[in-house]
Order: sequence, then C-alpha cells, then structure tokens
Amino acid sequence: MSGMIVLVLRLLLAAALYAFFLAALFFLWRQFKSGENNHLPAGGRIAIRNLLDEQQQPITFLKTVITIGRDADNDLILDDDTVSSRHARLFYQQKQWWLEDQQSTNGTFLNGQAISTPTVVISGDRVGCGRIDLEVIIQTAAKLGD
Amino acid sequence: MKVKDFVQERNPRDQVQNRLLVFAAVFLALYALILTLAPAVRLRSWDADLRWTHWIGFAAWLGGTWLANLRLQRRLTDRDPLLFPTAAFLTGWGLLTIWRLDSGFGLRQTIWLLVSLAFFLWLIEKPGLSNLLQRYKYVLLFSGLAITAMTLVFGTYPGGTGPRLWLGCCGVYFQPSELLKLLFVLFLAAYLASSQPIKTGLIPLIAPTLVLLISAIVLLLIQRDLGTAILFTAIYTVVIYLATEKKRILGISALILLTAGLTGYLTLGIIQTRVNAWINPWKDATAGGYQVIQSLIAIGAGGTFGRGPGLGSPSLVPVAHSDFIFAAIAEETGLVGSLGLLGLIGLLLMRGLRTASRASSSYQRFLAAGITAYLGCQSILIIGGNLRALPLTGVTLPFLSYGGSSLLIAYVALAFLLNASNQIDEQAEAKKPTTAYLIIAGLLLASLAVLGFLAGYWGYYRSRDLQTRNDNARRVINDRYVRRGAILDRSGRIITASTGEPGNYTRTLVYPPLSPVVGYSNIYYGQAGLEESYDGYLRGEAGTSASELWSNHLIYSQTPPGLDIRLSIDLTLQEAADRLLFGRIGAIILLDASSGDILAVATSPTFDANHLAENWQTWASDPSGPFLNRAVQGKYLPGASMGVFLLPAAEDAGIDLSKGPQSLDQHSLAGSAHCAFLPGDFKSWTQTIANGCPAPGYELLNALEGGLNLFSARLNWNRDPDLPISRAPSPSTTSAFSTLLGPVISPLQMALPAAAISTNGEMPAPRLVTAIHTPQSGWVALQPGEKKRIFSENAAGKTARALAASRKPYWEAVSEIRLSQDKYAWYISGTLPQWPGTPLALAVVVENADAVIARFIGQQMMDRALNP
Repeated sequence: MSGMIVLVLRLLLAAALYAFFLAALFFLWRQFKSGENNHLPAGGRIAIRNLLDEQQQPITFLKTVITIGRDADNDLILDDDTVSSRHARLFYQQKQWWLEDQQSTNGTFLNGQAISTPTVVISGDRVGCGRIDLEVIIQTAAKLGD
Repeated sequence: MKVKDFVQERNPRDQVQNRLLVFAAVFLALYALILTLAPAVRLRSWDADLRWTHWIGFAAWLGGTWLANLRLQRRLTDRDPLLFPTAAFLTGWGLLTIWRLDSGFGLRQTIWLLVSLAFFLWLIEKPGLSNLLQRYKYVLLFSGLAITAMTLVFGTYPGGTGPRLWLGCCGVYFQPSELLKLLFVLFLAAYLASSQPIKTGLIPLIAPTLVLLISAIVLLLIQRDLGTAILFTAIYTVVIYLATEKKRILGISALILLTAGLTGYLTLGIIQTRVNAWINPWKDATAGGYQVIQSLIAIGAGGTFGRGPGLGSPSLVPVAHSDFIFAAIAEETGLVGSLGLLGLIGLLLMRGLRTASRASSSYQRFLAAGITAYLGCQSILIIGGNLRALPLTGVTLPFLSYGGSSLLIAYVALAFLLNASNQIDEQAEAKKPTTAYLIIAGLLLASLAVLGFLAGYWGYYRSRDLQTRNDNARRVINDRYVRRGAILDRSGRIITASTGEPGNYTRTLVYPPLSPVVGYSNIYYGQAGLEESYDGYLRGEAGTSASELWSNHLIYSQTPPGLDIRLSIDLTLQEAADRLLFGRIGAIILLDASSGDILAVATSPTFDANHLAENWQTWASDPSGPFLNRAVQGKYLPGASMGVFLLPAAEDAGIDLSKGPQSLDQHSLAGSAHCAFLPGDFKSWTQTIANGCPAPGYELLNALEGGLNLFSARLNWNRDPDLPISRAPSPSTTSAFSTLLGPVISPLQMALPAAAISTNGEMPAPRLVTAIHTPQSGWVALQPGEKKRIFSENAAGKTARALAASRKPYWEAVSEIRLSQDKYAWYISGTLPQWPGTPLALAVVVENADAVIARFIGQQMMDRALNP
C-alpha cells in the first residue's frame, strides 16, 4: 500500500521536474518567437493617460503591443460609442513606439492629424480615438539606476 | 477608460518566475512527502517510524524563497525570470537530500540557507553595490588572498582531521577559498573593464592578472586545495577569452593545465593518488579508488528510475552530503533525476551567459561571465569526479552540496547575476552574441551532455555489474529488510535462517560447525560458501517470476522474499562426524554412494560464521587454517590408499592377481614408506593394500597400461568435483603438500571412487543442494549429476568383498603418509554390495595421527551411519 502511494508520488515528482523544464522552454520559445521584443526594458515603457478625466492616473504597460478599442479583449478598453470595437494599436519596433489605425469608423488622430499609416509617437503626443483624447508618456532610460 | 486587469498588474516576467517556482515547490513538497513515507515503504508496513524533521528544511526554503521572490519582483523588474527559480530549485533539492542523508547537517544547512537568503535580499536592495565594489578591486583581492593565507596558520578542519581549509571556531566555520573565488571574479571583471580600453595587445593586458592568478594558485597548492586551483584557472581562462575573443587562450590554458597536471602527477603524492584512482579505480578498490567506486555503485543502483527518495542507501558513499551529492541524487532519483539536474544546471548557465552577453557595461558583462564560469566549471568538475569523467577534486556542487560558505557565496554570486540581468543594454539587445560567447556556451553544454551520457552509461549500461560487486553493501542491507531464504538439512531441520522483523533481520547459523560449507553473507567480509553460490535463490532473485522481481524492485527497491534451499546433509550424522573430529585436525566426508548426496562433511578446526568480526584476524592467521574446508579443499597424497582403486582396475584389465605382490614397503628418494598395519596375509593383494602397504599399489600401477593416467582419466582426480562451495578464503596449508609425489586429492575425491566400489562400479557426481522452495511450485528437486562408470560391476563387487572388514557390513582400507613435515592417515570405507539399505561411502583423513586413530574414527562413523 505505502509502496503504491509512494510510486504514484514518485511519478508526480518526475512530472513536476519536467513541468519545470517545459515551462522554462515555453518561455524561451515565446521569447524567441516574439523576436526578443516582449523583453521590454524599463527605458521604453509606455504609459497612457486619459485627458478627459483629470483624476485618472496614467496606466503603465509592460507589453510591446497595446490594442485600443471598445471590446473587452483590448488591452486598453475605451467604453465610448465613438470608439470602434478594435480601434487602433500601439506597438514597439526599432526602439520606437508606433501608432496604427485599425480601420476604425471615426479615425485615429495623432496631435489632431488623422493617420492612415503607422506613425512614430513620442512622449507627450496626444492620440485621439473618436471622441476620446489620450496622452502618451514614454519612460526614458535616464530614470534608471544611479 | 478600463484596462484588462492582468495586463496592467502582472509583469510577464513575474508570471514566468511564479509558475516556475510553483513547479519547484511542488517537486520539493512531493520529495519531502516521499521522504516522510519512505520508512513505511522499506518495512512494507505502516508500523514504521515516519520521518518528519526535514519539513523544517522545506518550510525554511518555502518561506525564504517566497520572500526573495516578492522582493525580486518589486526591486528588479527587468531581471531574467529563469535564473532565480532554477537556483532555488537546485538549493531545495540539495537541502532535502542533505536532510535525508543526515538530519544534523540538514539543520545546519537550513540555517546557512536563511543566512544566505538574508545576504541575497540585502544585495538585491542595493543594485549599485557591485559597481561600487569595482573601485576597490585591489583591496578586495588582496584581502581575499590575506584571509586565505590565514588558514595556513589558523586553519582547521571542522569534522576532525583533514585538509585545514577552514577558519572559525565554536561550531561556525568558513572556507575562505570560497570567498576568494568570488573576489577573484570581481577583481578580474573590474580590472578588464578599466584596462581593456587603454591597453592594447594581449600580453600587457593580462600580465598583471597572471601574476595574481599564479599567486592565488600557489597559495591554494600550498593548502593542497587542488580543486579550487583548477577552478581558478578555468574561470580565468573563460573570462579572459570572453574579454579578448582570442581563441588561442583556450588552447594555451588547456596546455598549461595539462603540463601542470603532469608535473604534479610526477612530483606530488596527492595528485598521483587522485589520478591513479581516476585512471584505474578497480585496481585499488579498498583505498584510493574506494570513493569513486562507491559513487559509481550508487549511480548504478539508481538505474533509470532511481530507488526513490529515502529508499536507497546513498550514505554508503563517503561524504555523500558534500562531494558526492550528485551520486546520492542519482541513486535515489535515477537517470530521470540526474538528467533533470544536469538540465537545471545547463539552464542556469545559459541564462548566465545570456546575461553576460547583454549586460549594460563591460564590467557587468565580465562579472556575469565570471560568475557563470565559476558556477559552470565547479559543477562540471565535481559531477565529472562523481562519474569518473575527471579526477576527484574536493569542490562542492554549487547550491546543492552541504557547506555554508559555498551556499552563501553562490547566493551572493546569484544576486550579482540578477542585478546584471536587470540592466540590459538596449544596444546589445539587438546585437547577436559574439562567437566567443557561443563557443563557451557550446563547451559548457557539451560538457554537461557528456556527463549526462556517462550518467546513463553507469546508471543503465553498467548498472548490473556494479550491483553484483562484493563491496556493494546494498545487498547486505537488503537482507536486513527482506527475509533471506533459510538453509535446511535433508529432513527439514534449520541449518541457517534469518530471524527478526523487517528492518533488522539477522542471519544466524544454527549449527556453526557447518560454517565452511554454508559460508556467510557479511557486510565487511563479503560472501562465501553456499551463501555466495546460492545467493540468487536465497535473496529471491532467481527462481522468482520476472514480473514479481520487477515490481518489487520498482515499488520497494528491494528483492522479493528469499527462497529456502534444502541440503543433502543429515544433521544427526553431521553432528556425529564433528564430534569424532573434535580436537583433531582432519576431515570426514560421508556420501550416499548411489546418488552422490553428501550426508556429512566435517572439517576441523573450523570457524563460526556468526562471529566473524570478533575473530577474523585470529582465524586468518591461524596456521592450522580454520577457514580451509579440508573435506573438499584440502589436498592430500592418497598414498597406499590409491591401491584400493587399482585393484578393480587391474581386475578389469585382466591382470592375474593370484600370485600376490613382490614387496610391501616402498623405498624411494623421498624416503621409506611402510605398511600402516602388518597384513595378516603377506601374499594377498587385497590384504596388503587394505592395511596400507605402499609397494603393491606401485606394482599394480606399473602393470596397468596408462599408469598414472588412470587417476585423471577415470577417477577425475585431476580436477575438483563440481561443488558450489569452492570459494572460501584461500588456505595457507595446502602449499605444504608437495605435488611431486603424485596426485594430491581431497577427501571428497577419495570418497567418490569409493562409492563406485560400494555400488556397481559407477561413480556418482557429488550433490549438496537437493531442492529449492519456489513460490509457484513448492519444493523443486534438483537433478543429481551424471554418474560415470569407472569399474565393471563384477570388479567393483569383487574388490568390495575382498576388502570386507571382519563381522561388519562394509569394506575398509587404511594408509599412513609420513613426509618430512607432515604426517596423516587415511581411512576409506563403503557398504558391501549386498547391504540392503542406502549404500554409503566414507573418506576420513586425520593429520598428525596414525592409522589406528583414523580407523577408529572411520569405524565409529560407519557404525553410526549404518545403525541409526
């Protein structure tokens, strides 16, 4: 009896050991697939602030692709009738953040200009999605270290 | 505006790290649970002392790791998420293994783990510290050298006598060479980072570091800390190579290590011992090669799936908790575990190198590379030593081995590595790692792969031969937990049996005078006699179904219950024989003449297998040779008794025996030989031969065609009969009997042709084991060996009747051998053909006695056997 219990526990033990490996390999594979880019340094992180709501704190993202829209599966959900379900996206490439319209009904604006191709954003830029105005804040590496 | 909550709150790095730590924690909790239950499995009963103390270690690991994980997630948001879980996994695995081996060491290591984690937490709160240390590189290195040098004067060895590499007192000891290792890495990184941009050319750059390296190595060599000295060279090579990217550094360094090793081998005794023990440990398995062989036996015992945590016997390997922790882990978790362990180390090293190739400054880069080299080379060095891939060096396995200094330094190094991984250079990120990093990564991975391959070689391919070695005490330990088969006499009386409860079965020989036949199975003296030759049945490995064997091995890591064996010995006759020989030197062997069953086999003096430990030396040095089984191993000249077998041979050859022998006494260069008794009828061949007159035998021998060949060709006197008890410790007395004077034979070899005379001329094969009690089909009888016709039925019967003793149902013959140093007397006998009961044959030899005594003993024995 004790022997059978321990045998089962030993099988689970081996499973736990190799589950650790699988989890580590899964991480490595994902890191490889995304071209290392989800390894976003603190120096490139993006924060977004809603300009229409003064009380709200900027929200910092750690991801390299941020989708904006009305649907619940977006990273940034803007619950407004003028915002399309998938409105726009921000992505990090070549060490810069880019804004891209996702064929939204009411268009995506960068500092008041409607955009049709991916456009570079810098810290302090204003992004308009329908009626909503957002401010983009990009952290700099200078904040780091000592 | 809303945000999907997990996206904002969770750093993906934290998720990976948490998940990995959960798997590690589950593994360790299962490991601890198995350790708790292991005693119940070993005894196959819940009525066992379950082990609980190691949960202290698990709790400390869990609490400490959890806290460190929280602080890491707060402080080092960009760290490599694989480094810490891997190191924590290794630490916990090592800690529980140490607890399993020795709870005293386990408790100490738990305290050291808490101390190490405290340092670790402090260091990750101060990410700038390693940069600060950069400025004080010389101070650091020289203070490290100074502290290490102090051990030359104040050094101690915590465990008693040994290399004096520790500093400290009152129960707390520190090994400065561990600290020196890290300081050396810090110094190298700092020096290269500041000097590389200004110094051109390899020689000006590395010259100052070489001086320091050599001084460190000289210091370590004086201390005889060879492993650390090799390690310094390896770390140095890797760091310099990564900094300069010049491949020749690898070649030059390998050349220097080889030359240094060769010089050391030729001049230093300690290196010589280590290298010899590495090249051929089998030659010196009890001294120099002992550790390595025990390590390999442990790895072999683990096999593929391991014996299970707490179910093996890894503490049989010396210093298993420190130098040989890899062997201990391999025994209990098998190839599955040891490959996993090598994989974890590989993962740690690859992430370390990745950190090095992307660090934000060249100082951080060299520091991370140096730390990776230190962890990697040290792991490979000691695991290689465990697997006999490399000579043994007394370094620890980082994170796993017992040792406070080693664990503390490993955690400090880990903190530096994590700090470096937190500040990844964005420029370097896009860049591909240079060739040098790829080469070092390849070398490290290739070394680990070779070690994994070797673990498979010893654990799977060579496992079988390693397990059957005599110096593998696991077999004897197994006998304490699983009942070993009993040995019974022909009527089922116990001769030897294991008694007690599982966990403390003890083997008792109920009838000690049979020690030379039954032998022993002893942890210190190995096995001998039937205990050795029938070991497979007695421990249930033979005669049991393969599935039974396999399931017992897999579930309990034990053999199935042993099988009883039944001997041909009749204890009543055996006792009579031993009593007759009491106080004399000699042997008696009594056979069932038709089946060859050995009914009694007595030898004197004898030993007692129950008390080997107390008396081994005495018995081994006793000139009368108590270990010698005179009945089957003793070598004696047959003397005039050979005439007994020449009579029926002459009869068969048609030689005319009516005239009688020409002379009675024999005169030769060896001296004169006389009749044992004066024959009643001087002219009768049988009368003269029965009374031990030597000349008639030689006369017949000359008359017979083939002469001496008769003995080897017909009586098989040139080879030992096939009996399963031949391998007792080699006796010293046999050499006394010269082989120049003719064939030398044992009493058994005398009794076998005597059996042919008593039956119908057919010589039986001797048999000692008659049946085996198998679990499926009960007692299974073993077939007797084939008989061999050596005389015609007529000649045998005629000889027996002619030699018949007066008023007895048996025939008999005596002889006396007198050599310059030795004197002994033979008595051989057997039942007459008309005897209605079991036919018997007897041979008696008595040393330092004349034929009267031999005949008295022999007749007593025959009378006892025929009138029960």
